[in-house]
Amino acid sequence: MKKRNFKVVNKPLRKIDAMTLALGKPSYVGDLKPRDALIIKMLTSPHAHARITSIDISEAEQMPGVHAVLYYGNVPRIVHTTAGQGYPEPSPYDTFMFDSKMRFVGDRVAAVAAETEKIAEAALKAIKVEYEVLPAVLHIEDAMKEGAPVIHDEPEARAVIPVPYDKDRNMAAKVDMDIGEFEKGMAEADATVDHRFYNHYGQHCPVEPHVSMAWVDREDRIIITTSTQVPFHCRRIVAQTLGIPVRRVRVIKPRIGGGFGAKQEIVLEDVVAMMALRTRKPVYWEYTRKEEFISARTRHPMLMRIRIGAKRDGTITALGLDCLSNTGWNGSQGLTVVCNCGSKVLPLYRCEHIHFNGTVVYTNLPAGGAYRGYGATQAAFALECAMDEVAEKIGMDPLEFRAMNHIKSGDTSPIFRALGEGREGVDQAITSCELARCIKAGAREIGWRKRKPHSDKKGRFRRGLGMACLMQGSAIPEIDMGAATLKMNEDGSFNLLLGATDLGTGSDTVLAQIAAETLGTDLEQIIVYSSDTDMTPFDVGAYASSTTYLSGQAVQNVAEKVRKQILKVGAEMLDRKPSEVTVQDSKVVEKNGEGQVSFSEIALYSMYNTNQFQIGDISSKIVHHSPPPFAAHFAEVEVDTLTGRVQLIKYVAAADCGTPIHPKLAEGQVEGAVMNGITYAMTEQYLFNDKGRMTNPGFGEYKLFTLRDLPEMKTILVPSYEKTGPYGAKSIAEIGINGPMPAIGNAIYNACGVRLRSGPFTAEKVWQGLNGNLPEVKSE
Amino acid sequence: MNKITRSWIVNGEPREAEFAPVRRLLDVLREDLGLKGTKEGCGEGECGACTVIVNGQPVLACLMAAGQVEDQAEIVTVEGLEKTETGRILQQAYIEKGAAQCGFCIPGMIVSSYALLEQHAHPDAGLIRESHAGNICRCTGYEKIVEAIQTAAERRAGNTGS
Amino acid sequence: MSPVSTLKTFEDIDCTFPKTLQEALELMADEKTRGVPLAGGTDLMVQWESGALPMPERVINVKSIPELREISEADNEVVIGGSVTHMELRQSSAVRRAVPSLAEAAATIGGFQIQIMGTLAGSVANASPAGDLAPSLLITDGTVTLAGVRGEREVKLTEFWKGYREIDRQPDELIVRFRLPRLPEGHYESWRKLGARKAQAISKVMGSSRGRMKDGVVSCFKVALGSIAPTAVRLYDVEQWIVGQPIHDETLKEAEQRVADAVKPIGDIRSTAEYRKWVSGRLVRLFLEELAARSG
Repeated sequence: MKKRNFKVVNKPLRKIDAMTLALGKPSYVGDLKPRDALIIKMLTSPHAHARITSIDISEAEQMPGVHAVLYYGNVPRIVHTTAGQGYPEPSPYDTFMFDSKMRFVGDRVAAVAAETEKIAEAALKAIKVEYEVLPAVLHIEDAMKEGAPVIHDEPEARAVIPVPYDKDRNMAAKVDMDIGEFEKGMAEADATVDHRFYNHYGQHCPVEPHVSMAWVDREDRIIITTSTQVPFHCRRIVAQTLGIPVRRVRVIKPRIGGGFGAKQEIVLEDVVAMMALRTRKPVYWEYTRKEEFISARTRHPMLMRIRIGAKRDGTITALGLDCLSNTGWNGSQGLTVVCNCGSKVLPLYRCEHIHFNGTVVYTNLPAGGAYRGYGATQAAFALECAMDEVAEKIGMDPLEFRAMNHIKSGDTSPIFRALGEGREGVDQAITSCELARCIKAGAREIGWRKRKPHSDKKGRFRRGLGMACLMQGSAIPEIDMGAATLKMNEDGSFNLLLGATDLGTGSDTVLAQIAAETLGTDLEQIIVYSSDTDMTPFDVGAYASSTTYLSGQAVQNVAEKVRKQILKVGAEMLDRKPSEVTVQDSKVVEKNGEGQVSFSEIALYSMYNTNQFQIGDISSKIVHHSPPPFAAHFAEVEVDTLTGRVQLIKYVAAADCGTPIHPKLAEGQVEGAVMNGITYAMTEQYLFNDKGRMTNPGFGEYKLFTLRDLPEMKTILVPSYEKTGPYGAKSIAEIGINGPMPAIGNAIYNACGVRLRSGPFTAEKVWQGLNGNLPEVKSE
Repeated sequence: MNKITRSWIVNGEPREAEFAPVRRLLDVLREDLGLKGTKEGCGEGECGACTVIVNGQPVLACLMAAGQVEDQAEIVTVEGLEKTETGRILQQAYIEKGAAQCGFCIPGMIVSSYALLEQHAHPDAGLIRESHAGNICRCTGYEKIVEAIQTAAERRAGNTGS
Repeated sequence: MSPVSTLKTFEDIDCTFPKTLQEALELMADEKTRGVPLAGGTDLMVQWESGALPMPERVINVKSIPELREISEADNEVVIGGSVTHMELRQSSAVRRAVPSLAEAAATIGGFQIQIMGTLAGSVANASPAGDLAPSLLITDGTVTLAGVRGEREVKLTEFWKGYREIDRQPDELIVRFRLPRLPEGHYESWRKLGARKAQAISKVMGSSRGRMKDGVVSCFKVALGSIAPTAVRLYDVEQWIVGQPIHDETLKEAEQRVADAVKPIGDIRSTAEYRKWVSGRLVRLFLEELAARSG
């Protein structure tokens, strides 16, 4: 890779909001709540599947301090999707603000806005509801059985893009892809594997739960301040759901206390907007942790069948993946998540004969949504464990087997075109791939050479090593759009207005770095504002690993335009042609000469002196590539055969994210994603009773790792230069979460010979495995 | 309900508040005293975002009845850290190491760090981990937080010559 | 009554702040002033909030009563006040000498904040089957002292937990102190908790043992397990059987089997009955192995 001399990018500068956060200054929605805001509380369904036969809100409505009660009888009935996606959405329209049909334990019955939380809670108790309880679908495999209860029997439910959708059979989406002749490929193999894997429910657990507030301003517009990753989708969907024009809605995103995909969804905003309109007062709604678990969104659980065929020489002859995805009570992101199981995972290995099917079903359980990894997490577990299993059968080291087969720079894959986001994808060749170096660096760090088969291990404590290779994407090509506005101020500073939403990742800093680098100025001169639908240009929002790559290019474009304007004014001031000057250290300087003018002088001149105009511009960007970041992960575990307990000793993540704009933030993205993946693999799980009620909706029983549980972690950034990206960058935020399930699963097998095909990797499962009576893989 | 009045030293300044005795300390701090830095992440004592210091000890403001905090008690919240040398060193280290991503857990996390360093000038790796085991961060994977605490401990020990 | 006034929140709870034990007992004696004793609040506040326990009318703050905060050592025992915190338990050299497994157990409860807030009496009165401190208390054969205005009453800890979340306390009584016989010379204690993760794990199974080896055989062995029955339990049959036995693979296997036969755990959200049964035996095996190793 050729060495480039950057001044601002590729440097670990101070995160621009770090001081504010370290000082604990009021920044989040909950900190901005007006004193007189009404508090919203939601009455939810105690039944997994039921119809409201009668509801009486009169007593609640008349309680002193209650300002409004909303339920299906007094709000517009407009079908929509809660998925914050581009328009028309690839998710089916199957949700109403309120409905008389209850589709999961936790479904909305009625909302109250009252002067205190206590009055609101009391009013909920005063609402009288009678239900006709219906048979429920509580297992993924029951959803499409003959005679299964129909969850979306309302006439309005429909897909809004031309994709398979069969609500009468609880099928929310379906996608098929066949390349070559899969069965032939399997027949040609010397060894095959054919196994079921199950990815369990998991939740994002942002430390700040969903929270929104709204009021109606003097122009009769609804101002929503909300913790969202998708302010523009939020504005559009709220307007749609309330049946009002988009112009009447303004969405402001202040600081977000973590999102990870959870906040790529309209979970609270429709109700706060409706309540504001109804009460004409500021209203505030914050989920409790329990509500966050049950009624927000989750990772789509999936039951998978993976089939791989390989020849003894290591050639992969066939690759097949069938995913049965549980989208829960609504179809949010169901199709696109399952598409990603194919498109973000299967191209990783060269193979002529590929089969893929994704079927998405409704159940009466919590809804899936966008979650970091977005399908790649699920499929990587199945594929990367199965890769180890095939390697063992053909007697190859799993590292060598992967190194031999993985996609490389210059390669393409027919999958890129075959599988898009609910429509055909976009052809692309891999323009940067340092996976081979990731594998080498990670293997060295974990000590792969000392790895021995599990049959060689004895004693109570047995250690094992496992690995996984990963890829993701960078934005959704030819669908996602980002934009940025940049304008210059008198002192040579710039306002950078972004629709892109920093949800804690540091994207405000990264995008400011790109602007500063392009303009030839310092990071301190860039004042970032994100995001506000009235003030900032459109951006699809923070998802699909798009912000650095896509929004970054929008920023680079606008900064280049502004740079030209600066050069023109500077040249005019120096009495030169624009081609005779350049920018350097916040100045325009003569290429051959001594003359120079500062950015401040240029700004003042352009504003007050001659031919006045505002130096500034707006640019937008769509991309035609989605260059995958790549990673190799390695885990070392110790299994205590006395108790079955698995302890993660060390975890190594080596990642190629192109040229990191901010290496420290990029590392932080890897570390955070990896830790999230580790806890998903080791402890996190949803437990349900036989009526579909989640029984552990709190951090007391839904276990996240804390600092005491932290293994030794090592992050290695292996740089490449992605020529289509801004300053060589591609994405990094999601990929890290996909590795722990397979890498740890493979390490457990290597330690003690127990192959776990569903998570979390509990002591109970290892114990069953050690005794040879591990049950068949099944859903919750 | 009989409200009670308490006079505390909050972040070095005398503050008085009147409240129902079992009102959560978290609500008194955020709502009554306007100190919005302290956060609520779970309301069940598991996430540590509401950690504040009462008489030198880190406690969970979401589980503490404000009435149990006696008159003249000294309370330190995230807003008070910049007035102390340890607090400033910690803030600097958290910033430099990139320990704050979304930042929502930071008020509780950094207050736990402050409590640790005020009591232990040279915490070892084990103590750093254990003393922060009551604080959940979902963004960072904790690596950069550990680095920040270690850096702050070294600098603070260097400054005081201890 | 209007629904608002029947709904209770934290702010509807009355609270008294006695300065001395006598004052507290007088408040407890009268039904009109009696309240739920509140110390660290780490269990009660959570259970009130979640609705697992109803919000009480009144609480009595026992956190800062000086008499309840003392730790003292006598010849053969350590005496620990009810409002001594988990952090104080783990840091007290007296406790670490006398009942090392209790100090170890206290160190595994929650994070530092919870350890600083939570108290011994609070944990005991919460009477969760998964209470971390119960096994270590049980193996000491110690007592708990309850006080009312009528006087004090001493109850054997092995008889104090009556059933699921049920203790032998009268409505007017406060838990004031624990008298725990100290670990005799030549004896060793073990403690283990198996949970989903280290920090703040509520356990699948945990336990403590206290024992001695003499002349190659077990001369004394007491073992208690938690999370496997409605209360933490002593395994008397296993204790009796192992005394007089040497520790080798065969007796370990036998002990393991006897423990598994003796316990009747249930499956819940933290584990399965089958696993708990099996791992209970493994845990006791581990304790015996440790005893043998430490006894040289």
